[in-house]
Amino acid sequence: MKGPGRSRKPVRQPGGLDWIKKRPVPIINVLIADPDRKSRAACIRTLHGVRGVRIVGEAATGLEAVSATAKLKPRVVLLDLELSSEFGASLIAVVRRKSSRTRVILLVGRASEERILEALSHGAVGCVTKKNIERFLPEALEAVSSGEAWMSRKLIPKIMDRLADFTARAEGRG
Amino acid sequence: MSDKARAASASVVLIASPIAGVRAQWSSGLQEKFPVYEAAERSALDKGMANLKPAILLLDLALPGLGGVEGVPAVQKASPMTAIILMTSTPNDREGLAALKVGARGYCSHGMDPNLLRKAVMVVVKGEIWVARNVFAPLLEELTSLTERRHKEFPPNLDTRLDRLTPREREIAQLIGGGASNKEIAGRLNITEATVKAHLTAIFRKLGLSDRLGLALFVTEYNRVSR
Repeated sequence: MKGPGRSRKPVRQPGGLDWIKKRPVPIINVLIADPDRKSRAACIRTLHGVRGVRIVGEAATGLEAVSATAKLKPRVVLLDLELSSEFGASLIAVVRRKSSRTRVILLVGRASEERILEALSHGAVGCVTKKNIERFLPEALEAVSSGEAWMSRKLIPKIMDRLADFTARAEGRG
Repeated sequence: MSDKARAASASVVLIASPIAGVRAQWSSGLQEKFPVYEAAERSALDKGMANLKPAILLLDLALPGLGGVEGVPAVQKASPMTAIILMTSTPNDREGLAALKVGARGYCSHGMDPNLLRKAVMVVVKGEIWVARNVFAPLLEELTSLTERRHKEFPPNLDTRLDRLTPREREIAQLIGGGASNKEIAGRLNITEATVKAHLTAIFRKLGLSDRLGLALFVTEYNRVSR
């Protein structure tokens, strides 16, 4: 048996970039809440092998989403927009109340901007269209788990309109 | 030439910064696509706004006499249709949010790559808003907190919706909110399960809900808001 010390072939190079792979990264725990199995599968496929991401659960209904959030306290919930607005978008408020550290990213199929805005108003901080899951979900997760928001900049004018509306109404009353 | 192309080709850009090098850098990325004019001081800026009515104004926040973000509306007055992009050497997300609130359509860093700046200008010409990604989070926080405050002041129709229920129906709704089954409710209120179901059907109809989950969440939310 050859000892590593005597081998001519380098058994393992010390140094190099190995430390990057070994460096511990904070794990992002993710709950997927979507009634559509295909969407859930797309998320799982996309996130499989993404470093630092762990899928901790799946939910197919609003109630499951709420109870799984309460139990698992995931860092991020990927929440189908339809599911979120099943109950006037406030499912998001309920989810956030169950676990205050949890951030919600909306998975959007075909939906009006109005409904996306409604969900954002209730505290969702990310928004990825279902056809772009593969392309953008890892980026969105990364951004949202580090405290940023992730959405299309096209939504910003609408958000500004809403904010202006709040201000106008507040002044109208005063 | 389509209307859109004509509109884009006619988009005059006015650049206002006290530093010549900065003006040159910004215009370098834009000159090919847009007619670019420059202003080095406040009076030239005001004149340019009034006479050119530019589509875009790249405005250096360090311009003397501007007074920072709060000075933007006064500049805007001379040409209300001009989309203003604020340029700063020290970008921060709170100021970015403040910039959007005074009506700026963009908030960028001084040292922005000229090609990226061109892209930003093109996006703003199209009617969109250009801000760095890190402004998104405070923007949404503001939206959420205003929405929540509003909901606290005026619970979103929860009162009026719940008013439609009879006292018995309200009692049942509360029990559903607590997670009780039909059988438990029947036992508790001393009625039959069939009666519970009949009540539930009426509750769903009155509240415009389709199932127990919706009702349970509705009640939870109602209790939270009214607490």
